[in-house]
Amino acid sequence: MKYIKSFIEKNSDNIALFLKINRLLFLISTFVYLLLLIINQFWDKIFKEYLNINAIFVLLLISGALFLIPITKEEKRISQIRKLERKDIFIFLIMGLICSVLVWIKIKDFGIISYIISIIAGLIILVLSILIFYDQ
Amino acid sequence: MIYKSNSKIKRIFEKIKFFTLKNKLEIFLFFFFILIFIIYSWDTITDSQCPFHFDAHETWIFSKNLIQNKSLIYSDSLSKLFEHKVFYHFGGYLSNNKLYTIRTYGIIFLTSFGLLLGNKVPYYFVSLLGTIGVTFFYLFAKNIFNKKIALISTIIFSLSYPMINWSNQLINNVPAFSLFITGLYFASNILTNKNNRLSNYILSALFFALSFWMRYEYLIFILFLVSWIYITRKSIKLKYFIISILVFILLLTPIFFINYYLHKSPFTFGFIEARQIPVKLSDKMIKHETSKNGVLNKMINTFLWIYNNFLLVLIRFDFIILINNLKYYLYDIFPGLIIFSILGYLAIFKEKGKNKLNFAIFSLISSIFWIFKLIPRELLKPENIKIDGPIPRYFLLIYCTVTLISASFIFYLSKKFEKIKIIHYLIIILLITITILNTFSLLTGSGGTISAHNLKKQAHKINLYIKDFPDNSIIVGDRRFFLHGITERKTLDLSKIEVMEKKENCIVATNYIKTIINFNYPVYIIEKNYLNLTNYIQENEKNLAVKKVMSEDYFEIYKVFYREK
Repeated sequence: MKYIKSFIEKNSDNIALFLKINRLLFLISTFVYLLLLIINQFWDKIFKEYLNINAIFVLLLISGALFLIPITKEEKRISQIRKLERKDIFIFLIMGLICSVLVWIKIKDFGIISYIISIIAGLIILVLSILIFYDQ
Repeated sequence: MIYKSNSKIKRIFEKIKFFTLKNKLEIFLFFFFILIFIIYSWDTITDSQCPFHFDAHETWIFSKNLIQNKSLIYSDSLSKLFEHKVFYHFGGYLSNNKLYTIRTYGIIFLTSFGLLLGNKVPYYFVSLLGTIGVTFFYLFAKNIFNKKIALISTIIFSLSYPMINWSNQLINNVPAFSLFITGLYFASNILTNKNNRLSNYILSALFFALSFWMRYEYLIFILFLVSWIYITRKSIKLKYFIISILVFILLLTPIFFINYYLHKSPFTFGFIEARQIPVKLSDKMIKHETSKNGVLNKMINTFLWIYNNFLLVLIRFDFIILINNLKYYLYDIFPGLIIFSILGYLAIFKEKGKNKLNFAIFSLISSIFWIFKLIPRELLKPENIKIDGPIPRYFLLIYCTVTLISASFIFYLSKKFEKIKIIHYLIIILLITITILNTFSLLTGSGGTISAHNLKKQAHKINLYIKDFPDNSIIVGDRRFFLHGITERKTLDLSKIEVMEKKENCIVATNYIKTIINFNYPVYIIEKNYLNLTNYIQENEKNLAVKKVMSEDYFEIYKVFYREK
């Protein structure tokens, strides 16, 4: 343990840089992984022929685990109350709309129910986004 | 005067506005749970409900039998006349031409009670219990984490395809899960030291006992709470705790009495009896006997069965099978979430929050045990997997912990990267991914909920048609083709005639039909089955005739009768 502690102290700058890079890697791999999951629903041949989504899954898992390991001391943050702005609602609305369209494309053969389900899916995204990010 | 009334209306509007703004989350949840109930009872609301599933049909038959004959043993007088058990085409344990249920007593009593109120009521009970379960899941998550995490996880979990699919069926998995999570909510009030009243102890014991009535495996999950109880032992009042244990045992005793009455042993359940013949797992198991030691031997059998099914599976598990099958039953169902649940566990263990940590330990023990118990049976291939296959409905407790832990990690991320705007979009993309994947797995695919809904709708239509047939009519058909959906008249299953050669099979079936007609029962054949029995009768039988009485795109019904001489 002593060796590990002294190693961390000696290389704290390098470790901090590594953790910053890892944080970036975690964010990018999460973004790519989620996008690929959606794309897979529409064009699954891409994965069979060119890409292995499991590789990104493993990368995400490792970078996520490293992101959580408390190697260096974290600063305590005082969270502020976030207020909802018009711009945010507009973005959430667009995200909800994208979700509705994507759901509708896949289930349009079901007739009238496809519109209801798509609208509900979009509304859920809108409501959840507002509820997650805003306290008021 | 007008001014006064205007100001009154203004005040009322302001009050409504104030109330709405103050309780917006509660109002949202109220409408959300109504929506959930509608989704969970969609098949019933749209007149597309029938006990189409093999297990649901057994529940239906035994529940009807309980009302009509006041008995948990089903027997059919006609069955004795035939070599093949054509009238017993649903689950159950057959002994001396009597059928004993292998379903739990809880679901049979619930269905029977529902049937007294109406044919649709048992289905509404299941949907209602599903909605109650989701409500208490929200309250439980709020107790352990916070409002936001509770809300995210409740929305994701309640709209997940396993919950929607199985809340629309007469199957005990959703009611058992709901009762367990309700009990867990009352227990969490005590374990988090929020409310240490006697009522919480008694209510948790009551709901835990009811979950055991619905599905017996929930006893294991109740036992897994021991570690949580031990860690928080200081917040538990010993007197109340002993009372709750006594209440729990008292509520379970009728099960052992019923077991003794039906199977001559308090610990022998119908499914254990059914699985012991023939002896498969261990040569130590004792075959049925009527000697003095019968009761003792049955009890030994039960414990050997538990050993073989629970402990031996764990000892002899195959790692490759486990990983392969985990992909199908955990990763494929929640592909966007599973990674976040793993990281969520790590985050909780890192943070060491008391209640969160205790819950994480409990959920981890339960999940690992249940995954190891259920999954490593045989190596699954993509063609073995059906979206409404059996395993997802046993995994409801694991799915709910996966969504809860994942939601906590989403919240952790949003707090950690509060200032980075891009993380907000990332979380929204995650929500979109989950919504899209869940909707697709629910609606598309061969075994999807929509195709199950359509099949049930067709069977429901058949039920409406055959309601006009004489009361003692017998419908001859095949359980692979609508027969399980038929509830209005007695049914005879041709697939129970285990003769491989088709012509031989038709000869046996025709002889059975003749015997039934001789006893003055009107016989109808529901056609498009694999035997093509009506053609056989028309071509080969001089005495019998068939007449088409009804036809639709997907089925034809023929009446069978003797030709006039």
